[in-house]
Amino acid sequence: MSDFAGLRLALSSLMAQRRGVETAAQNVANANTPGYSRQRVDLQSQGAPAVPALWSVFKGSSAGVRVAALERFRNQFLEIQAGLEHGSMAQLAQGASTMRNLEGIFPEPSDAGIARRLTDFWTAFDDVANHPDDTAARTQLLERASTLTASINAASDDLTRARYDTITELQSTVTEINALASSIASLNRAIKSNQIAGISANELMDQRDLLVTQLAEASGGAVRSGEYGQVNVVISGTAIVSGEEVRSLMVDSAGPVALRWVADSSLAAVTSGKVAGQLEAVNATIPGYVAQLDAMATALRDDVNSLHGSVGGSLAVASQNQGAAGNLEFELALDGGAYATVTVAGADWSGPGGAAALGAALQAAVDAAIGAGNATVGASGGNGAALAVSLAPTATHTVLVRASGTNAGFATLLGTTAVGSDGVGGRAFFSGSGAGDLEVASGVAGTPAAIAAGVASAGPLDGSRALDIADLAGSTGGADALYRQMIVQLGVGTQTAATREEIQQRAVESLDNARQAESGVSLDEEMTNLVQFQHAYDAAARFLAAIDEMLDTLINRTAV
Amino acid sequence: MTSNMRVPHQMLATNAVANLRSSFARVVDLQDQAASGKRLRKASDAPSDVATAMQLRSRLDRNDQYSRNLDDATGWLSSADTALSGAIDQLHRVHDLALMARNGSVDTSARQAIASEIDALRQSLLGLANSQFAGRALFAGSASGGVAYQSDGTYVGLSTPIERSIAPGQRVQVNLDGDTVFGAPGNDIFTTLASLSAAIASGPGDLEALGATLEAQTRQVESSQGVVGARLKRVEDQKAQNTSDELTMRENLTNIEDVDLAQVLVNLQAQQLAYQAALSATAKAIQPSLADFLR
Repeated sequence: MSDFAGLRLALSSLMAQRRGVETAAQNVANANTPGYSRQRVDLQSQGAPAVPALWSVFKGSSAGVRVAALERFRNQFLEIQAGLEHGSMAQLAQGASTMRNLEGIFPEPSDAGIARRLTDFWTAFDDVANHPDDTAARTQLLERASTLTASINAASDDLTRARYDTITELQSTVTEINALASSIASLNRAIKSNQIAGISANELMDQRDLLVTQLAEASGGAVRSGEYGQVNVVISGTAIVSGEEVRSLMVDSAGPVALRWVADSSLAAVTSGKVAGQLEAVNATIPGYVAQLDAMATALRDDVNSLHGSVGGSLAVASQNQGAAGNLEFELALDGGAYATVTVAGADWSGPGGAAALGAALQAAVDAAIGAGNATVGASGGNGAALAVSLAPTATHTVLVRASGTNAGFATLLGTTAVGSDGVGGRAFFSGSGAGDLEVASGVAGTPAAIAAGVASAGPLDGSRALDIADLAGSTGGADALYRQMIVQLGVGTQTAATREEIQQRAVESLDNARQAESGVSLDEEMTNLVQFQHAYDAAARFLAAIDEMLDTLINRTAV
Repeated sequence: MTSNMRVPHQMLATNAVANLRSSFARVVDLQDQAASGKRLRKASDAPSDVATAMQLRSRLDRNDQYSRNLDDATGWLSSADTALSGAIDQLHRVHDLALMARNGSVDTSARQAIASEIDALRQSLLGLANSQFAGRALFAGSASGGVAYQSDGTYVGLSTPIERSIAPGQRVQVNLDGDTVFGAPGNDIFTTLASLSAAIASGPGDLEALGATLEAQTRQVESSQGVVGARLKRVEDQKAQNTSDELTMRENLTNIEDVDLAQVLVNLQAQQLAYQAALSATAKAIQPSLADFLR
């Protein structure tokens, strides 16, 4: 063994301990750096050669210490798990925020919501029933009706806007995903080169893993370990990042919104991550509530229209023989045009087949007056019972009815036609195809006299029809019930989404704690390391001094 | 968290922040409840309660409308009651006059006087039969025009029931047709009175038969008043019921929607205390590390 081997031994120790101090300093410096993994010097004692030499004998004791590696504390299993849980968390958080948004559109229970507007609308009909001759009551009804339709339109618009906003957000999420994927790929490349060159890639890996967690959060992709310290991210079987390769995603918003791979336009089936939450909101959650609001609006339209616009009546047995009455008349206007007279020759409809005969005669007369195919006549009953007649415009058409002539027969026949105070009946109250375009029908809007408070046979101050419409407020399948049902569903949905988010939040927190426990920097621990390495450094320096003294003794004091 | 788990300082900080945040969120929520006085502020606060609250709110609004309808019904019925009492008084007077005229000792000029008094009473009865409430003739049904009888006694009303909604699914008829009260056209009280007056003026005709008719018709008016009274009673009962319903519903709504202020304030106090404790504990735990003790 060389006389100077001791110096080299001391030197190796000094260098190793200094590396230890530096590592502790690096850890302390990055105690608050997101994604940083603590490092530790991996010291290895230098001993005899692993393979003994053939022609010489190793007589030395030891050759000191060397830094074998800079170990990075990160548990790959936890990382994969974290990717999954963070993806799921982002999806649920998106779901919860969608629901909170939607809930905000419907301020219930309060006086500002649609429920209150509906009640106002129904009670206005009560006021019209109480005072059919009062224009103020009718004007108030029209005002309340347009306030109601406006608030339903606004809610529908808000839902549509929420959907468009989410699509825009989805687009920016996808842009972010593509950017993250290419950053990860370039870090993967750098890591591979460093690994091959034998340089520590710990900090690069930290950066990369941070991005991987973000990518998993946004895309719901699964994390897989690759070669040379690289990682791959896989979305439902297709790798978005595979080593240094990247596949980009794009949003396809023609038809149901979907994500596709840019390369071959094939579908990317995301099931987790923020994008999955956004797709769910855009394709299922929001359209679901739009459909419910539409159902409520059409129920309102149809329920009110069927009472307000009904044309028809019934002939009691006693008046079914109109054989001696001569011509029976009334007037019809198609689609708001001029009135045409419908004339039916009186006949005896009291016997068997009376209903069919009256129906056929009336249909022929209606067709002659306003053209065939525009309105359908229905007739039923008779032969010893009341004979009911109805008249309905075919799709897209409207008809208006008013009495004419002096013949009492048809006045009775059209008796239960709902008429306005202007004597015209058959007007729809609401028009529109859904919540978005529901409005007070053009024939009624701005015309208080067009409100049908009563029926034709009951005299000008009859309020019975308005009373019937007001009673729709309590209808079990009516607009109010449907709306309440929707609000309850919205409430339950929001509550459930929030609970699921909270539960997942706990899971993510405890997983992140486990990751922190593995990778986080403990200042106490680093201080201890610092003290430990510092003392070892002191001791090594002391040893160096001792060797120095020994050499001094040997060189300067011996055989002088 | 296992006892031998490493606890890095960052974790301590993250957890402390998360816990403080959720603790503070509870403080804010309770403060919001205390300030608004409402337990239900959005649908997700308690979805089933929200459904009940919405139903109660709409029923309360309907109830409000029912009381307006009831007031209107009271107006119609009590006006009819007043008109009918007046009519009955007049008819009793006519009855007395008819009896007087049947007395043989009444001379022609006295009979003339009786006849003209009956004419006057007939006019006044016509006036009562045309009584109005809020601009509408009480006994004309749904006919417009403001009168039930023309000045010659011709009935121009329509026999349509006028109804008011007074409770869910319940309606009350608030009018009586002129022909139900005063007799069908041609056989009505005004025709009878005209004949009576003519008969008295022209001499002792068949006063007995006319008197019997008049009596039957008077009874009809009296029984009409009975009907009105019964309906008025029903309306009054319903009004009382409505008021008590409203109180019950308001109480229910308050129970469901509003906070128990005492409880919320106590909870708020407790939560604030917990928040402060968490703050000071965090401040103590986050500060020291080994670095503070190494020299």
